[in-house]
Amino acid sequence: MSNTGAAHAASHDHGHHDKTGTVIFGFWIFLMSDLIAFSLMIANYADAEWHGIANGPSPHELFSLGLPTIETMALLISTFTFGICTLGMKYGASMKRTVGWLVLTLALGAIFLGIELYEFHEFWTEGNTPQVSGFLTAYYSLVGLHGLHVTSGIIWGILLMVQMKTFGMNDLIKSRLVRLGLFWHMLDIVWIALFTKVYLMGVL
Amino acid sequence: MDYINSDVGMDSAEYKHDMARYVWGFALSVVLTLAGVVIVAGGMFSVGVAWSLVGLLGIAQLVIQFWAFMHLDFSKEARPDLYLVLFTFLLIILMAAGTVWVLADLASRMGMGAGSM
Repeated sequence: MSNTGAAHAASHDHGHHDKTGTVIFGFWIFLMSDLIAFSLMIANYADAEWHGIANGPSPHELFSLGLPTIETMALLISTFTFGICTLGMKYGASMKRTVGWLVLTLALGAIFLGIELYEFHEFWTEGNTPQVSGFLTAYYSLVGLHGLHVTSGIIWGILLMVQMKTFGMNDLIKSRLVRLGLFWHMLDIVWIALFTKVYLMGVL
Repeated sequence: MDYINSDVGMDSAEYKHDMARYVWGFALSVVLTLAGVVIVAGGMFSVGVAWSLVGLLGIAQLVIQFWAFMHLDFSKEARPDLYLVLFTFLLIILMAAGTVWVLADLASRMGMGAGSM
Protein backbone atom coordinates (compact mmCIF):
# COMPACT_ATOMS: atom_id res chain seq x y z
CA MET A 1 0.00 0.00 0.00
CA SER A 2 1.75 3.10 -1.20
CA ASN A 3 -0.90 5.51 -0.09
CA THR A 4 -0.02 7.70 2.86
CA GLY A 5 -3.69 8.42 3.27
CA ALA A 6 -5.85 10.38 5.63
CA ALA A 7 -3.69 10.07 8.75
CA HIS A 8 -0.71 11.44 6.88
CA ALA A 9 -2.63 14.39 5.48
CA ALA A 10 -4.13 15.20 8.88
CA SER A 11 -0.78 15.06 10.64
CA HIS A 12 0.74 17.64 8.34
CA ASP A 13 1.28 21.08 9.66
CA HIS A 14 0.18 24.12 7.76
CA GLY A 15 3.69 24.99 6.58
CA HIS A 16 3.87 22.00 4.28
CA HIS A 17 0.47 22.67 2.76
CA ASP A 18 1.51 26.23 1.96
CA LYS A 19 4.77 25.08 0.38
CA THR A 20 2.99 22.64 -1.94
CA GLY A 21 0.51 25.36 -2.87
CA THR A 22 3.33 27.83 -3.56
CA VAL A 23 5.23 25.34 -5.71
CA ILE A 24 2.08 24.62 -7.75
CA PHE A 25 1.33 28.34 -8.15
CA GLY A 26 4.90 28.84 -9.35
CA PHE A 27 4.29 26.15 -11.94
CA TRP A 28 1.16 28.03 -13.05
CA ILE A 29 3.39 31.08 -13.71
CA PHE A 30 5.64 28.93 -15.92
CA LEU A 31 2.60 27.57 -17.77
CA MET A 32 1.31 31.09 -18.43
CA SER A 33 4.68 32.23 -19.79
CA ASP A 34 4.60 29.19 -22.07
CA LEU A 35 1.09 30.14 -23.14
CA ILE A 36 2.33 33.63 -24.12
CA ALA A 37 5.08 32.04 -26.23
CA PHE A 38 2.50 29.83 -27.98
CA SER A 39 0.10 32.70 -28.60
CA LEU A 40 2.84 34.75 -30.26
CA MET A 41 3.73 31.74 -32.43
CA ILE A 42 0.05 31.63 -33.42
CA ALA A 43 0.10 35.38 -34.22
CA ASN A 44 3.19 34.78 -36.37
CA TYR A 45 1.44 31.85 -38.06
CA ALA A 46 -1.70 33.94 -38.69
CA ASP A 47 0.40 36.53 -40.50
CA ALA A 48 2.46 33.99 -42.47
CA GLU A 49 -0.71 32.21 -43.56
CA TRP A 50 -2.04 35.56 -44.79
CA HIS A 51 1.00 37.07 -46.52
CA GLY A 52 3.53 34.27 -46.69
CA ILE A 53 2.16 31.65 -49.09
CA ALA A 54 4.73 32.61 -51.82
CA ASN A 55 4.62 29.89 -54.51
CA GLY A 56 3.73 27.15 -52.04
CA PRO A 57 0.38 25.61 -51.18
CA SER A 58 -2.26 27.50 -49.19
CA PRO A 59 -3.64 26.00 -45.94
CA HIS A 60 -6.82 25.18 -47.85
CA GLU A 61 -4.86 23.09 -50.36
CA LEU A 62 -2.61 21.47 -47.78
CA PHE A 63 -4.86 20.43 -44.88
CA SER A 64 -7.68 17.93 -44.49
CA LEU A 65 -9.66 17.26 -41.33
CA GLY A 66 -9.58 13.44 -40.98
CA LEU A 67 -6.26 12.75 -39.28
CA PRO A 68 -6.14 15.97 -37.21
CA THR A 69 -9.59 15.14 -35.81
CA ILE A 70 -8.42 11.68 -34.68
CA GLU A 71 -5.28 13.33 -33.30
CA THR A 72 -7.40 15.82 -31.34
CA MET A 73 -9.61 13.07 -29.93
CA ALA A 74 -6.54 11.08 -28.78
CA LEU A 75 -5.21 14.13 -26.90
CA LEU A 76 -8.64 14.94 -25.47
CA ILE A 77 -9.07 11.41 -24.12
CA SER A 78 -5.54 11.57 -22.70
CA THR A 79 -6.27 14.76 -20.75
CA PHE A 80 -9.35 13.04 -19.29
CA THR A 81 -7.41 9.92 -18.31
CA PHE A 82 -4.77 12.13 -16.65
CA GLY A 83 -7.61 13.76 -14.70
CA ILE A 84 -8.74 10.34 -13.45
CA CYS A 85 -5.12 9.54 -12.56
CA THR A 86 -4.48 12.65 -10.42
CA LEU A 87 -7.93 12.59 -8.85
CA GLY A 88 -7.48 8.97 -7.74
CA MET A 89 -4.04 9.81 -6.34
CA LYS A 90 -5.50 12.65 -4.27
CA TYR A 91 -8.23 10.39 -2.87
CA GLY A 92 -5.83 7.60 -1.97
CA ALA A 93 -5.83 5.22 -4.96
CA SER A 94 -3.18 2.49 -5.02
CA MET A 95 0.06 3.21 -6.85
CA LYS A 96 -0.77 0.42 -9.34
CA ARG A 97 -3.96 2.21 -10.33
CA THR A 98 -2.26 5.61 -10.56
CA VAL A 99 0.56 4.21 -12.71
CA GLY A 100 -1.98 2.39 -14.89
CA TRP A 101 -3.86 5.59 -15.76
CA LEU A 102 -0.55 7.42 -16.32
CA VAL A 103 0.65 4.72 -18.74
CA LEU A 104 -2.65 4.96 -20.67
CA THR A 105 -2.33 8.76 -20.80
CA LEU A 106 1.24 8.65 -22.10
CA ALA A 107 0.28 5.98 -24.68
CA LEU A 108 -2.48 8.25 -26.01
CA GLY A 109 0.08 11.08 -26.12
CA ALA A 110 2.34 8.80 -28.17
CA ILE A 111 -0.54 8.06 -30.59
CA PHE A 112 -1.10 11.81 -30.97
CA LEU A 113 2.60 12.33 -31.66
CA GLY A 114 2.69 9.44 -34.14
CA ILE A 115 -0.15 10.93 -36.21
CA GLU A 116 1.54 14.34 -36.17
CA LEU A 117 4.87 12.91 -37.35
CA TYR A 118 3.05 10.92 -40.06
CA GLU A 119 1.46 14.15 -41.29
CA PHE A 120 4.80 15.98 -41.24
CA HIS A 121 6.32 13.10 -43.21
CA GLU A 122 3.49 13.19 -45.79
CA PHE A 123 3.82 16.94 -46.34
CA TRP A 124 7.59 16.73 -46.44
CA THR A 125 7.71 13.96 -49.06
CA GLU A 126 5.23 15.90 -51.21
CA GLY A 127 7.88 18.62 -51.38
CA ASN A 128 6.16 20.90 -48.88
CA THR A 129 9.21 21.49 -46.71
CA PRO A 130 9.65 24.50 -44.37
CA GLN A 131 11.81 26.26 -46.99
CA VAL A 132 8.93 26.52 -49.47
CA SER A 133 7.12 29.44 -47.86
CA GLY A 134 6.78 31.54 -44.73
CA PHE A 135 3.47 29.79 -44.11
CA LEU A 136 5.09 26.35 -44.09
CA THR A 137 7.94 27.59 -41.86
CA ALA A 138 5.37 28.92 -39.40
CA TYR A 139 3.33 25.71 -39.64
CA TYR A 140 6.24 23.37 -38.84
CA SER A 141 7.47 25.69 -36.06
CA LEU A 142 4.12 26.10 -34.34
CA VAL A 143 2.83 22.54 -34.59
CA GLY A 144 6.35 21.17 -34.05
CA LEU A 145 6.79 23.23 -30.86
CA HIS A 146 3.59 21.73 -29.51
CA GLY A 147 4.82 18.26 -30.52
CA LEU A 148 8.06 18.91 -28.61
CA HIS A 149 5.99 19.74 -25.53
CA VAL A 150 4.09 16.45 -25.87
CA THR A 151 7.42 14.62 -26.24
CA SER A 152 8.73 16.33 -23.08
CA GLY A 153 5.54 15.38 -21.24
CA ILE A 154 5.95 11.71 -22.21
CA ILE A 155 9.62 11.64 -21.10
CA TRP A 156 8.70 13.47 -17.88
CA GLY A 157 5.91 10.95 -17.19
CA ILE A 158 8.23 7.98 -17.68
CA LEU A 159 10.84 9.54 -15.35
CA LEU A 160 8.12 10.21 -12.79
CA MET A 161 7.04 6.55 -12.87
CA VAL A 162 10.64 5.55 -12.16
CA GLN A 163 10.61 7.97 -9.20
CA MET A 164 7.30 6.50 -7.96
CA LYS A 165 8.82 3.02 -7.96
CA THR A 166 12.03 4.26 -6.31
CA PHE A 167 10.74 6.65 -3.65
CA GLY A 168 7.10 5.56 -3.24
CA MET A 169 4.10 7.87 -3.32
CA ASN A 170 5.36 10.58 -0.97
CA ASP A 171 4.04 14.14 -0.99
CA LEU A 172 6.84 15.44 -3.22
CA ILE A 173 6.10 12.80 -5.88
CA LYS A 174 2.40 13.59 -5.61
CA SER A 175 3.08 17.29 -6.10
CA ARG A 176 5.21 16.45 -9.17
CA LEU A 177 2.39 14.34 -10.59
CA VAL A 178 -0.07 17.21 -10.07
CA ARG A 179 2.31 19.58 -11.90
CA LEU A 180 2.77 17.15 -14.80
CA GLY A 181 -1.04 16.93 -14.89
CA LEU A 182 -1.36 20.72 -15.17
CA PHE A 183 1.28 20.69 -17.93
CA TRP A 184 -0.62 17.96 -19.79
CA HIS A 185 -4.00 19.70 -19.49
CA MET A 186 -2.34 22.90 -20.75
CA LEU A 187 -1.05 20.96 -23.78
CA ASP A 188 -4.61 20.03 -24.62
CA ILE A 189 -5.81 23.63 -24.18
CA VAL A 190 -3.06 24.90 -26.51
CA TRP A 191 -3.92 22.16 -29.01
CA ILE A 192 -7.57 23.31 -29.10
CA ALA A 193 -6.30 26.72 -30.22
CA LEU A 194 -4.00 25.14 -32.83
CA PHE A 195 -6.65 22.74 -34.13
CA THR A 196 -9.12 25.63 -34.45
CA LYS A 197 -6.71 28.11 -36.07
CA VAL A 198 -4.52 25.84 -38.19
CA TYR A 199 -6.84 23.02 -39.27
CA LEU A 200 -10.49 24.08 -38.91
CA MET A 201 -9.95 27.65 -40.15
CA GLY A 202 -7.29 26.45 -42.61
CA VAL A 203 -9.65 24.02 -44.34
CA LEU A 204 -12.45 26.64 -44.53
CA MET B 1 -8.23 22.38 0.26
CA ASP B 2 -5.02 20.43 -0.24
CA TYR B 3 -3.92 19.86 -3.81
CA ILE B 4 -2.45 16.43 -3.25
CA ASN B 5 -4.13 14.72 -0.28
CA SER B 6 -7.75 14.31 0.72
CA ASP B 7 -9.08 13.18 4.09
CA VAL B 8 -11.54 10.82 2.42
CA GLY B 9 -11.28 7.94 -0.03
CA MET B 10 -12.45 7.12 -3.53
CA ASP B 11 -15.89 5.98 -2.36
CA SER B 12 -16.68 9.43 -0.95
CA ALA B 13 -19.18 11.95 -2.28
CA GLU B 14 -16.33 14.45 -2.73
CA TYR B 15 -14.54 12.08 -5.13
CA LYS B 16 -17.72 11.55 -7.15
CA HIS B 17 -18.33 15.31 -7.23
CA ASP B 18 -14.80 15.98 -8.49
CA MET B 19 -15.05 13.15 -11.03
CA ALA B 20 -18.35 14.56 -12.35
CA ARG B 21 -16.49 17.79 -13.18
CA TYR B 22 -13.96 15.85 -15.31
CA VAL B 23 -16.71 13.85 -17.05
CA TRP B 24 -18.64 17.04 -17.90
CA GLY B 25 -15.49 18.75 -19.12
CA PHE B 26 -14.61 15.79 -21.32
CA ALA B 27 -18.14 15.34 -22.72
CA LEU B 28 -18.52 19.05 -23.53
CA SER B 29 -15.05 19.14 -25.12
CA VAL B 30 -15.89 16.20 -27.41
CA VAL B 31 -19.20 17.80 -28.44
CA LEU B 32 -17.59 21.20 -29.13
CA THR B 33 -14.72 19.65 -31.12
CA LEU B 34 -17.07 17.58 -33.27
CA ALA B 35 -19.40 20.56 -33.75
CA GLY B 36 -16.44 22.52 -35.17
CA VAL B 37 -15.54 19.67 -37.51
CA VAL B 38 -19.16 19.31 -38.70
CA ILE B 39 -19.43 23.06 -39.37
CA VAL B 40 -16.25 23.06 -41.46
CA ALA B 41 -16.85 19.74 -43.26
CA GLY B 42 -20.61 20.23 -43.71
CA GLY B 43 -20.34 23.53 -45.55
CA MET B 44 -23.82 24.70 -44.50
CA PHE B 45 -22.60 28.19 -43.56
CA SER B 46 -20.80 30.89 -45.51
CA VAL B 47 -17.05 31.04 -44.85
CA GLY B 48 -17.37 34.16 -42.67
CA VAL B 49 -20.11 32.69 -40.49
CA ALA B 50 -18.37 29.31 -40.21
CA TRP B 51 -15.08 31.06 -39.29
CA SER B 52 -16.80 32.98 -36.47
CA LEU B 53 -18.67 29.93 -35.18
CA VAL B 54 -15.54 27.78 -35.12
CA GLY B 55 -13.69 30.55 -33.28
CA LEU B 56 -16.43 30.83 -30.66
CA LEU B 57 -16.55 27.04 -30.20
CA GLY B 58 -12.77 27.05 -29.67
CA ILE B 59 -12.95 29.80 -27.05
CA ALA B 60 -15.84 28.01 -25.30
CA GLN B 61 -13.75 24.86 -25.13
CA LEU B 62 -10.77 26.75 -23.69
CA VAL B 63 -12.97 28.11 -20.89
CA ILE B 64 -14.50 24.68 -20.20
CA GLN B 65 -11.13 22.95 -20.06
CA PHE B 66 -9.65 25.59 -17.73
CA TRP B 67 -12.68 25.03 -15.49
CA ALA B 68 -12.90 21.23 -15.64
CA PHE B 69 -9.29 20.03 -15.80
CA MET B 70 -7.31 22.91 -14.27
CA HIS B 71 -9.86 23.69 -11.53
CA LEU B 72 -10.15 27.34 -12.45
CA ASP B 73 -13.30 28.90 -10.98
CA PHE B 74 -14.42 31.74 -8.73
CA SER B 75 -13.68 29.85 -5.49
CA LYS B 76 -11.30 31.38 -2.94
CA GLU B 77 -8.68 28.65 -3.53
CA ALA B 78 -8.55 29.30 -7.28
CA ARG B 79 -8.51 33.11 -7.00
CA PRO B 80 -4.71 33.61 -7.45
CA ASP B 81 -4.69 31.23 -10.44
CA LEU B 82 -7.69 33.03 -11.94
CA TYR B 83 -6.06 36.47 -11.62
CA LEU B 84 -2.85 35.11 -13.15
CA VAL B 85 -4.73 33.61 -16.11
CA LEU B 86 -6.79 36.78 -16.69
CA PHE B 87 -3.63 38.93 -16.60
CA THR B 88 -1.93 36.53 -19.01
CA PHE B 89 -4.83 36.78 -21.43
CA LEU B 90 -4.64 40.59 -21.24
CA LEU B 91 -0.95 40.35 -22.23
CA ILE B 92 -1.77 37.86 -24.97
CA ILE B 93 -4.45 40.09 -26.48
CA LEU B 94 -2.12 43.10 -26.45
CA MET B 95 0.88 41.24 -27.87
CA ALA B 96 -0.76 38.84 -30.33
CA ALA B 97 -3.30 41.32 -31.71
CA GLY B 98 -0.58 44.00 -31.81
CA THR B 99 1.74 41.69 -33.74
CA VAL B 100 -0.90 40.83 -36.33
CA TRP B 101 -1.84 44.51 -36.65
CA VAL B 102 1.73 45.73 -37.17
CA LEU B 103 2.61 42.97 -39.65
CA ALA B 104 -0.60 43.46 -41.63
CA ASP B 105 0.00 47.23 -41.75
CA LEU B 106 3.56 46.62 -42.93
CA ALA B 107 2.34 44.21 -45.61
CA SER B 108 -0.27 46.66 -46.92
CA ARG B 109 2.32 49.48 -47.06
CA MET B 110 4.57 47.18 -49.07
CA GLY B 111 1.78 46.60 -51.54
CA MET B 112 1.18 42.98 -50.59
CA GLY B 113 -2.55 43.51 -50.95
CA ALA B 114 -3.43 42.98 -47.33
CA GLY B 115 -6.40 45.29 -47.28
CA SER B 116 -6.94 48.40 -45.24
CA MET B 117 -5.54 47.69 -41.77
